[in-house]
Amino acid sequence: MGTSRTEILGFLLLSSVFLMLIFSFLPEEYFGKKSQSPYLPPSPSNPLGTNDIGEDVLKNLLIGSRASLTIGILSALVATGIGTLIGVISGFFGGRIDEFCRSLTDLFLVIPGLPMMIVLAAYLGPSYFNVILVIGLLWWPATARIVRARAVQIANSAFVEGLIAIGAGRGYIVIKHILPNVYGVALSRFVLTVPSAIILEAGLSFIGLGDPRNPSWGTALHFALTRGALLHGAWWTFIPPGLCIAITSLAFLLIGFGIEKRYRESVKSMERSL
Amino acid sequence: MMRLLKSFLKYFSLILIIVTLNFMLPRVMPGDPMVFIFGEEIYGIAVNNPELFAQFVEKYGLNLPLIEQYRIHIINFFTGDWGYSFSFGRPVFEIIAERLPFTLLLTFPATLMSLAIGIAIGLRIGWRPNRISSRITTSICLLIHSVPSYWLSMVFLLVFSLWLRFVPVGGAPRPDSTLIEAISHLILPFSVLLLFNTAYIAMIVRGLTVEVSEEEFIATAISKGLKHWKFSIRHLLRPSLPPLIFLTAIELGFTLSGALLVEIVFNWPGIGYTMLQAVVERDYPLIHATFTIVAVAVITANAIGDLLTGFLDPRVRNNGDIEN
Amino acid sequence: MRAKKLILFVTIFAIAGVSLAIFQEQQKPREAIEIKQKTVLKIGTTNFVKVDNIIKDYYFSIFAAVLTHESLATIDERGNIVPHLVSWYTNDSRNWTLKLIANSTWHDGKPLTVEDIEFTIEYLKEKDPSYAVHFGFIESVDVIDSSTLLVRLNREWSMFPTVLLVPRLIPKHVWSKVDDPSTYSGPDRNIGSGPFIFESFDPASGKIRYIANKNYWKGSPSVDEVEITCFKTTDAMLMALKRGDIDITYAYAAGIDPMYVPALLKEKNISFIIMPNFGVDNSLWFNFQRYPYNITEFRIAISYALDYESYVNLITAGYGRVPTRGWIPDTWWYYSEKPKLARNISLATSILESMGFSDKDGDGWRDYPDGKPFKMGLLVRSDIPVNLRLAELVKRDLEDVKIRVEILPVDLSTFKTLVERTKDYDTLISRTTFWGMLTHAGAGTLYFDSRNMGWANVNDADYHKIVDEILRTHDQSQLKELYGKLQDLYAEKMYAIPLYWGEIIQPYRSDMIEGLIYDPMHGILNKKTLLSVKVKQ
Repeated sequence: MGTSRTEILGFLLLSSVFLMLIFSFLPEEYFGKKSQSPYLPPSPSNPLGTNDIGEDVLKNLLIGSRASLTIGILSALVATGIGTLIGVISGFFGGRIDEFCRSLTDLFLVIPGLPMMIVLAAYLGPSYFNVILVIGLLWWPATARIVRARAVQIANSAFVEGLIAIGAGRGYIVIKHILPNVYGVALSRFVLTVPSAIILEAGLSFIGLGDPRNPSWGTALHFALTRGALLHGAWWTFIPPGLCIAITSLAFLLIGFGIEKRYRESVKSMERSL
Repeated sequence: MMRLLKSFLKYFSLILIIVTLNFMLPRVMPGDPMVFIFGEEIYGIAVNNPELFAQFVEKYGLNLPLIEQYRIHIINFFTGDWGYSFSFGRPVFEIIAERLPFTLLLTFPATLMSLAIGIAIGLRIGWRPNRISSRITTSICLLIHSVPSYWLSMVFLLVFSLWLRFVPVGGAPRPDSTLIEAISHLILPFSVLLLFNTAYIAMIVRGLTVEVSEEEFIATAISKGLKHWKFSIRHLLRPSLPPLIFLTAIELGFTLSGALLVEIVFNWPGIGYTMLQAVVERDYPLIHATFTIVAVAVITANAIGDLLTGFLDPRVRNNGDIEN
Repeated sequence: MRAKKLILFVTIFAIAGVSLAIFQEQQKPREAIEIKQKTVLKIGTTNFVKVDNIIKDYYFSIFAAVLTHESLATIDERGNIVPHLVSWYTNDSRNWTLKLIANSTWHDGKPLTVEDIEFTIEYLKEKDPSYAVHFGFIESVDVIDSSTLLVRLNREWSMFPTVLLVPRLIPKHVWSKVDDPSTYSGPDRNIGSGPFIFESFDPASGKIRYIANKNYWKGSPSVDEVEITCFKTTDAMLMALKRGDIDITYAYAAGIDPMYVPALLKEKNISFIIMPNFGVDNSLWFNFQRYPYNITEFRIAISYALDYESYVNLITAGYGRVPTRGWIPDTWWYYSEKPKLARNISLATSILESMGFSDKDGDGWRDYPDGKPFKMGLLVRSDIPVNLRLAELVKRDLEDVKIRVEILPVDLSTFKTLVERTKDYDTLISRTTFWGMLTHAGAGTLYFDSRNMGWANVNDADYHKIVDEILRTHDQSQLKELYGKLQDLYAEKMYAIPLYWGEIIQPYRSDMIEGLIYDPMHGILNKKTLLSVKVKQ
């Protein structure tokens, strides 16, 4: 069961995005000069033109990849981590603990995500770290549910029941048998959460609640909207950032679906053989 | 009956928690609400006049101990007295009653239509996922999924409003405008929402259909001579219905907050935009009200989804988990 | 099934049909379909009105001050306060006599009397927070006879006439029975004595309608109706201007962002009124009571590090000028000439070095004289994009002299709390308004004096002395001298660095209106304009 074509496409897209990340560390001289007047259209010296304060759009685009990618990946990590933990605990231990965890999951699922994030971001202040925290704290329920379902499956399997019968410790079982087996699901969930995280972060920045000191692609969109790019017809300031967000999300989605598919098939074949 | 009661209790406590959360969060945010009561030009002067300042803090009830404010808050919530907005000076209910219809006007038709179209498309491409047309459609849906809705809104605005001068630059239709004018204001935000919701639902239905079609009994049906996907609605849709309904309920619930960013780009005066304004201005009563409305909508949608799912599939009585 | 396909087709067909219809509609010329017999002045604004209550809604009250209500005094083109409904005199800057000099009437026909004036001041002082602050020094108001009032202040304040600019006079016979003015919604809530009568407000579309008061004592307005449309963004408003939906745009104490001018220049039907700003557009304010911003050399060094030309180019798109060290713009009658600000990196560097702020640990950034790493906090309001961009440019410039800057974006209420209440900041960027420049002791002292709003938090004894003297003086020539001394201090000490002197840019449809008159406080929307503007058909 090798990697499908879609996954390869995904990886290609992803590597081009990471290339952007690497290029963003190039020193100033490689990029176009700052202009004295705003919103210059693309030209040989500034391939993507300049923005409202004369900065080279291409340079900003590359720098934006840093914030967008790191915040996206880190918050997806936090969200998946929390989700996996709760899912495993809930699914394996069952009973009261399960009930509690599920109610918790329900509560967080029901809280309207974006508005809550807006309030929290406004409360905690516009910072890099806070955005990661906020997205991570509110995006774990989906993962928790799916991991839980898987954990329940494994916990109920004859194999694990046997282990419990011979007196194997709970912690041991969780670490040696449950976790490795939910790994696949967790991984696919992680990869699929990243695009949501990136778009959410961009959304927060777009409204103006992001961290302007660590500008992301969303920040570029924010300033385009509020500094008259639309009226100027300066499409070069907001079309590229949006495309970058799209390409990055697509990359992760393709890879994520590929992993999910493969995982599902291997689980099925495992079940049949059991 | 017992189950219904338990569900009700669960959802009720959820609402209570939301109300409490809504109370706490705005109040622990940094920033003094008196800035908006005095006005931004006057606040700095007022601060230097402690007597005057204190007088008005008391008038707005902001100096009561937190517990006291909380008690009043809970009572008011359940008696329907949601207070006066700090920044509008009008009853909060009035403001929401004014703005909510705008959001609904946009999101309800979009959700319903996207449901119809999305399910149709999803079924089609899920039944035969390997056909060229299915693949192309799936790719398009995936693409739409990766693009931020507010960005697409900006692009639409640029192309259709600025370059083509097709439609006005956002805003709501005036009460005295013609039907055509009204629709011209509506059509862009509506299209964006329609596009996104449809793609989302189509992908989900596709996934479900693919899963179900791999089940044994479908193979049996095919061998019995079932040719076209049209006839197998009964076989495909039925098992996937519970998770689908549940998902749809959540969709409808989230629609209210989901349209938020689109509202901003298009200057659509709905709940989403109001919520953002309230947060920026630390208008506690309005923040509380808008959040609660959205939360209650989502909770209700959840509850309904739960109930319907329970009725339709006795196997799945626990929140639509797909337990094998 | 077939049904679903049918739905799909019908939908697509419907969308196509509707789109065609819209397209047709848009292509039609935008002239009125019915023949208008009355003239309507259509104004667009981004000052968003939420409720049509003049006490509660800040922007609505600004429109009211011009259209439907009157104040006691007004401003002339040079920024001087002149009598409108009353004239005044004082002998001791503490007791002021006001004389009613106009026969104004309320919109319901009743005459405006001194009782109404007395009532307005006492009522608003008691009921509304911001008026309570405005009237803070007023101890009592008494009616002496049918055309005279005596206002007693609790201290000497030569700037008292600034207060006469503020109150929108309200009728006693309407409001004396209202307990809470900010929530009052009775049908007579907008009765004033101004040249226009309030007709309607639609909150959803943001449209406010006023009709002319033909009995206005100064003369009948030159247009029959005024319609104000509130837009959420400047983009939307300017699009409406392009399409002819509005004749002029308006924003209180501001013009439009210069960013938009080049796009509008291409339109041949749009002209501009360009006036110099009386407020100081944006300055870098230091917290005078915090180290090292309390050291004059340090502030002066910073003033040599900034690239003022770039601010004029990028922020004002050329519609502005480089300021002088005196901080006060040359539009004011008491302006005294000071040297222009200019960038001089070597001078900045040498001052910093001589103060001991050099790079001791070799990380490329200057440190405190004791070796600890130095970072300058720059507080900015996150809801004003121009300020954020300006902060970026300032940071860029300071980095050129190796000063590390941390931009701290905060929302409005946090900003005000930190800057005006807890005084917890290093530096900040913000702008002043015309009214702010006038009040306290004038010349922007409101923003410097630590005993008031005090963004610069100055508690310098010399400074306080001059301010106190100004508060006592009401002789013009003496005042000019004192303001001159103030500007000397500003130039010498640089408590705040003005970043650029902008211009107010006011676009309008030259093919649709003419006869606009500008005044520094309200811009083009003032009573003089309303009596002279003409709407071309």
